[in-house]
Amino acid sequence: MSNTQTRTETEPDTIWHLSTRTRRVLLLAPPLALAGFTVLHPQPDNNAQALMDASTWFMGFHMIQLAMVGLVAVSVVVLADQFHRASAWQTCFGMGLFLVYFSAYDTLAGIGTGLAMQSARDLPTSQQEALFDIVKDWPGLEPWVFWLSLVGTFGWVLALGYLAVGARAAGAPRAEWVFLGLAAFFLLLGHPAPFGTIAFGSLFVAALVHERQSSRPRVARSLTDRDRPPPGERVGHPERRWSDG
Amino acid sequence: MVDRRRTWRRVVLLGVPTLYVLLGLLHPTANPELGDETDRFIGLHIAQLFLIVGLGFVIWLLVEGVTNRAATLARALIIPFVVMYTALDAILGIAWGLAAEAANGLPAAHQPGAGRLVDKLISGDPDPRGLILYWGAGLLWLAVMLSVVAALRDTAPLGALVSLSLGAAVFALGHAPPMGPAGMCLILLGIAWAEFRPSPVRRSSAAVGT
Repeated sequence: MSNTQTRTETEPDTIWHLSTRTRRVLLLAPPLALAGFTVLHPQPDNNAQALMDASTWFMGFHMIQLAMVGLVAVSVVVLADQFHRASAWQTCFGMGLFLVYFSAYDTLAGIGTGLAMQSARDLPTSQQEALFDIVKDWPGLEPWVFWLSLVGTFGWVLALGYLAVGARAAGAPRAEWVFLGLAAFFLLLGHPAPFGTIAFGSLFVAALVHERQSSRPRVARSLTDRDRPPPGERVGHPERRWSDG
Repeated sequence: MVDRRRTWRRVVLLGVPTLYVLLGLLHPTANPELGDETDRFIGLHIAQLFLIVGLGFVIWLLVEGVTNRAATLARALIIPFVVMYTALDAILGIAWGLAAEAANGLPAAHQPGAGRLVDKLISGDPDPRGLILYWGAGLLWLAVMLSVVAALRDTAPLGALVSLSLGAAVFALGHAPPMGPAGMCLILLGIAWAEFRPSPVRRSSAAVGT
C-alpha cells in the first residue's frame, strides 16, 4: 500500500549511525569545500619557467586536494547510506576506484609534477628543460597517468550515477537526483574550475536538497485513513512521488 | 545464499593477501635507478592500486558486524589508509618508474637532473617528504590493522591475533621483499586461522544458537 509522506525514507536501518549534526557536516562540508577549492587550482603555462614558479603551490594544492577527495568519498557513502545503498557493489566498487585511482592521478600529476619542478629550480637551464620534458605530460597526456584519471573518474561516475538512479527510485525530489547526475557528468570534463567546481558543487546542492527535505516534518506515518486528504488534494511537493512507508 | 556470501567473503579475505604475496615476490628488492629496466616496476605499482582497494575491502569484511569502538575506528581509518597508501604507491612507485624510464631516453648530459628527481623522491636528504610519506603510510596501515585486532579480540583465537599483529608490523616496513611477502603471509595465516578456526567463545555461542 502506498503511503503519503512529505519526505523520502532515509534514516532507519542505515549502516552509519550518525547524529543529525554529524551527518550534515559530513554530507555538506566536504563537497562545498572542494567545490570552492577547485577554483584555486593553479593553471600555469606549459613551460619550464612557469611550472617552476608555480611548483610549490601546484604541489601544495594537490596535497590538500588529496585529503579533500577522501572526505568527499565519505560524503558520497553517507548519502548512499541514506538510501540504503552504501553496501551496494556499485557504491563500494565505484568509490573504491575513485578513491584509489583519482588519488593516484592527483598524486602523480599534481604532487609529482610540483615536486619535480621544485627540485629543478637550482639546476642549470639545460637540465631544467630536461626535467620539464620528463614531467610535462604527467598532468594528462602520459598514457599511464591518463588511464589512472580515466579509471578514477569512471568510479565516480559509477557511484554517483547509481546514486542518482537510486535517489530517483526512492522518490527523492527531482532536483536531488538531477544534481547527482550533473555531479557524475561534470567530473568527466576535468577537476579544475569550472568543471570540477560544478561537479562537486552539484553534489553539495544535491546533499543540501536531501537535508532540507529530511528536515521537513513527517506527515505520512501520522496519517490514518480518516486523516488522509480528500482525493484530488495534493500534499507536499507536486514533483515528489509517494514511496512506500 | 548464506553459503554463497560466505564463499565470496573467503575469496576476498584470502585472495587479496595471496595476490599481495605474489606481488611482493615479483617486486624488485631495490627501486630502479637510471639505466635500469622500469616496465615491471611501473606495472607492479599500477597493479598494486587494485590490491589497495582490495585491502580496504578486506579490512571492512574483517570487522563486518562487529560493533565495538575498535571496529568503528578500523572502519574510519580505511579511507585515510587507502588515500595515503595510494599516494605512496603513486609517488614512490609509479612516478619513480616513469621518471627513471623517461630519463633513460635523455642524452647523458641531461640525466643528472632526472637522477636528482629520483633521489629526491626517497632519499630524505635534504628533503624528508618522501620518507614522511613512506613511514606515514606504513604507520597508518599498522594503526588500522591493530584496530582490527582489537576489534576481534573476543571472537578470534589468540594465535590468529598474534599472527595478524606481527604481519601488520612487518608489512609496515615495506611491501618489497623480504618484508612485504613475509608480513602478508603472516596476515594471510591470521585471517585463515580466524576464519576457519574461530575461538571457543564464538563456537560455543554458535552452538547455543543452534
